[in-house]
Amino acid sequence: MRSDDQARILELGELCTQEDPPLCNASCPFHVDLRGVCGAAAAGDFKKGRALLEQGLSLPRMMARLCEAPCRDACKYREIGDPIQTRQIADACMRFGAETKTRTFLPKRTQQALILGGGLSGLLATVELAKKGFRVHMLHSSETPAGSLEPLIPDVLPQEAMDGDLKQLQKLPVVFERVDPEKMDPQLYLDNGEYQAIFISDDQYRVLAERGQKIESDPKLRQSEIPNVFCSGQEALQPSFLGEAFRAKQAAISMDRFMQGVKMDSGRESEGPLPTKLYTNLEGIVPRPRVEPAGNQYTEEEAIEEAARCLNCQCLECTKACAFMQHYKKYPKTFIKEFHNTLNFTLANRMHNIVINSCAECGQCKVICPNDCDMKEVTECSRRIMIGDDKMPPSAHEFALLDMQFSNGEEFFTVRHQPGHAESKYVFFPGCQLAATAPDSLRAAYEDLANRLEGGVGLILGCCGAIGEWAQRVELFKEQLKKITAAWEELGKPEFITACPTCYHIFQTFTEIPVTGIWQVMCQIGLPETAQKGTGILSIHDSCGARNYKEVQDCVRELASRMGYEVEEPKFSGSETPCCGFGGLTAFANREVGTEMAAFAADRCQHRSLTYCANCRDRFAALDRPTVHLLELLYGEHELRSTGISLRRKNRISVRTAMLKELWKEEIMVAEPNFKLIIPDKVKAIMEDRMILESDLIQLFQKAEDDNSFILDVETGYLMASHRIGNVTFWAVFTKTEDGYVLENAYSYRMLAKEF
Amino acid sequence: MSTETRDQFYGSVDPKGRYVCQKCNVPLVKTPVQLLYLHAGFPVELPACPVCGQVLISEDLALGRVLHVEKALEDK
Repeated sequence: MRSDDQARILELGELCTQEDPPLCNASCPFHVDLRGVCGAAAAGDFKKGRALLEQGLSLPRMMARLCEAPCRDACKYREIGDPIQTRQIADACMRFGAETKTRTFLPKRTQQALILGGGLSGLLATVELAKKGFRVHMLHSSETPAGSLEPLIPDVLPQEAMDGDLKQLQKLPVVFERVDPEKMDPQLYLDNGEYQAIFISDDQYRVLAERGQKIESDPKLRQSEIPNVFCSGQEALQPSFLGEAFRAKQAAISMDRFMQGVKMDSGRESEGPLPTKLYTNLEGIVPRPRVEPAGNQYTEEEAIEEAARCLNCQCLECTKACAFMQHYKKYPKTFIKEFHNTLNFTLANRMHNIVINSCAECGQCKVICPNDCDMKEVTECSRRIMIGDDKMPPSAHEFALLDMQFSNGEEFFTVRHQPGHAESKYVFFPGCQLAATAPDSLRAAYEDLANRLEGGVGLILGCCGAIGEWAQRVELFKEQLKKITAAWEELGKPEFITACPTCYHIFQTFTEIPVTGIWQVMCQIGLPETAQKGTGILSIHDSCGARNYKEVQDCVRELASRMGYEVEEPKFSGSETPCCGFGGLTAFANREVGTEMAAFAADRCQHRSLTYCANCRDRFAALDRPTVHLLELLYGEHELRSTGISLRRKNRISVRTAMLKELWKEEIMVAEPNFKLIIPDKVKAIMEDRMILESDLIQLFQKAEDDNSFILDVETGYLMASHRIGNVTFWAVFTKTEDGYVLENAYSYRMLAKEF
Repeated sequence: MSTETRDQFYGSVDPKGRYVCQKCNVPLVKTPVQLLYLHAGFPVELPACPVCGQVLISEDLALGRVLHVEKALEDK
């Protein structure tokens, strides 16, 4: 159901923690972007660091001197060494960073707030409220508004730090007034109508508490029992600069809302320290000790050096292993947001259709993610929604789906007991892509299995339906499974032996057919006589089909080792293996990303790669990356080149025809055209690029001959002809020979041209 | 071959005698044609045989504007 898929997409989005704050930010009650501050400082950009601090704090210079820095206590670096000296780096940013000039427009407010008492909380509440446009009257009985901070000046708190912070009050409607201590009682101001809200600073709270006057307040809103009086409550008695500052900020927010007559408690859930699920991988990080200042504070160089130790905590684990995510420079959370918007709110162009069709649905990210976020499932849900909404671009998967139907159609689909057997204990299901790319490996493997296994080894040639599953054509996929299951039943329910990891996965997951891999069988019955006696190192490239099947991965390694090879494990191997770009039909919907995936997967391999999926082998070879398929090691190697779409079709037909003829003594009539079609290599490359099959053009010429629908291009002297097959119109540009045609060019399009 | 845009057509190609239909042995001429894709239709003028009606879409047009419009309609 659409709504289920949609809900699931959002649910999966919640699992990606990349946008969760780092520990420093999460532990800070003000949520100062300390990761950003350290990043800026490390780059020597103290101005940017200062701007970030000013965004989060209303008294940044003072806080950079006084804060107890829970960010440093929470710092991820603590797991491997000294935490980052965040407060000192912040202080350096405030000292060395130039001020960012911002123009703020103050709302004019008529209400006036009274701040009773100085010190950090009194000053902070004053600044917060004044910046919101309120008139503020601050009364202090201490010598200066600094109150309890006075003894800290200048050693702990330099005068210039305080002056710098208070400079922002210059043009604001604030009046500081020193009064006698007896004038500091809130009771005096409750009913005079001059002040709409009163804040008792922590300094003053402590004075009142000593006199036995203890005022309780709400621990979040900081509102006392007297509605217009705000204070820290008993927490004021526990000394902490950060606590004082934060409580004053909470009170100021409440007072603002109180004076404006709006709800005080809405939308304040994220105030204060928060939990975070952001995962950060510390693997490979060599800890460095913290930088000790030569003087009593960091110099610019020292601050830069210390800030450079910051881990810049991010997750991005899956993106490190996935060429699709790297191509778009995004991580699951951003993809999911964009997919969701495309699927639900797009009015104009659906920019992300192609992105949805570029994920390989290989399941790698889920294995790597510490939180099991799964782009495969996101993509599956998204594609189903697109199809249901009739928004799936027809060109994305049609070629691959037609290829699947070809594999399960009359020209290839085959079900047989072993020659001379009326029963099958086993049936070999090599998979459509092995037949397409390595027909002689298929045949050699079949003959070997049939020779060495007792009880009859049948043969089924066809496609498991994975292409339909990747495209999320649910009904079409079910049809293929039904067809294979019926064939399995027809043969008396033998055990499947497949040579394709994806078929293995599909049958394991979606059918009751008992399935094993040729890899496991070889491990059991031993290597064939034709197996190589190799030396040297092969880099193993597991298949995404085998991602969740350790038994398959282990057997492949075992076989390579029995043949004498040493196996190298590249980065991201086994269950973390990246897809070659065929998975999810990426190569069909977005060739560029598909090729990047193949290159990424191949380039992890330091030596010639050992593959056991026909597609991985073919796609690596297409990029000239040295590779060999396991069956080649067992039954003989082929040259290193990609097969191409037309040959893939031909190979399937010819291996079937030859096997039926030579093993089953069945004569299959393959209709040959009554003309010769010569396709020069340069035109073959064009056809490959435009996904035009030789068989499409043979149909075109047959039709053109039937109705003589040739067109002469007088300018070039070439002939032209066209033919619509299914949803595509094909054109051929050619010259005629005595017994056929020499192709000069071919192209196609999907639009239908109709005369008025 | 010239391509010019007219008000009532999205595009117009005048073959000016470049193509000859072999079946009917007559030159293709500029003919009003409807291009259809995904519930959308565009009136254009393309070379077509005045006798049998066979329409010609050249490689330039197929890989240029036709492909562009196909992609745009697929992402609508």
